[in-house]
Amino acid sequence: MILFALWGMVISGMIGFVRVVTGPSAADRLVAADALSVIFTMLLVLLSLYIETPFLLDVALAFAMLSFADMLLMAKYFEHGELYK
Amino acid sequence: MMPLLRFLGSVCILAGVFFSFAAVVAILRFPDVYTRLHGGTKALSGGALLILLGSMPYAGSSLGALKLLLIAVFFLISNPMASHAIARACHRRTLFKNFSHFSSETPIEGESMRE
Repeated sequence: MILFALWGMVISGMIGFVRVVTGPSAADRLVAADALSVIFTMLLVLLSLYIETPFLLDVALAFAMLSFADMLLMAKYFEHGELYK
Repeated sequence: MMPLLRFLGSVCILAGVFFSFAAVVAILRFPDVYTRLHGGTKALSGGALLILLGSMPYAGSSLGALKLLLIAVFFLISNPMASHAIARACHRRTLFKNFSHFSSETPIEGESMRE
């Protein structure tokens, strides 16, 4: 069952990557990258359950915090044109 | 007690995978940035919470379940904040010039009051 969920998330990520590649503007790519970061975190959680390796949950927590800061910084940069203004 | 919890957890995980797939299809198919943000963020937040809550019985120890709960609470706080930041950056556009509805001839409501 967890293997089925893993493949479902992998297929979802591959479909979302199409929007990252062929987005008309930078905002579409940013939205799709935000969705892909959440999908990758879920993929790490399901992988840690599948191969029974508990320290991948720490990796998932650190990746969630890092992608959150990443999205905030990129939104601020695309809003103002520079980071500190 | 534990097989019932695992059954409920597997149902939650499959529902979360379905929601994630629906969110990604929404990002691929919707015509505009705001609708893509709407579909992607809401459905993906619900799907992530369902997957995290459903995988709690499968974590071996209670520490693993606590970490999963911590990730869920963090997603509940951080995901609306990031989507709001992206939507605000789209609204006060400086670099996003090629929106579809911004290039129309009719003026945007409230645009002249900002000057």
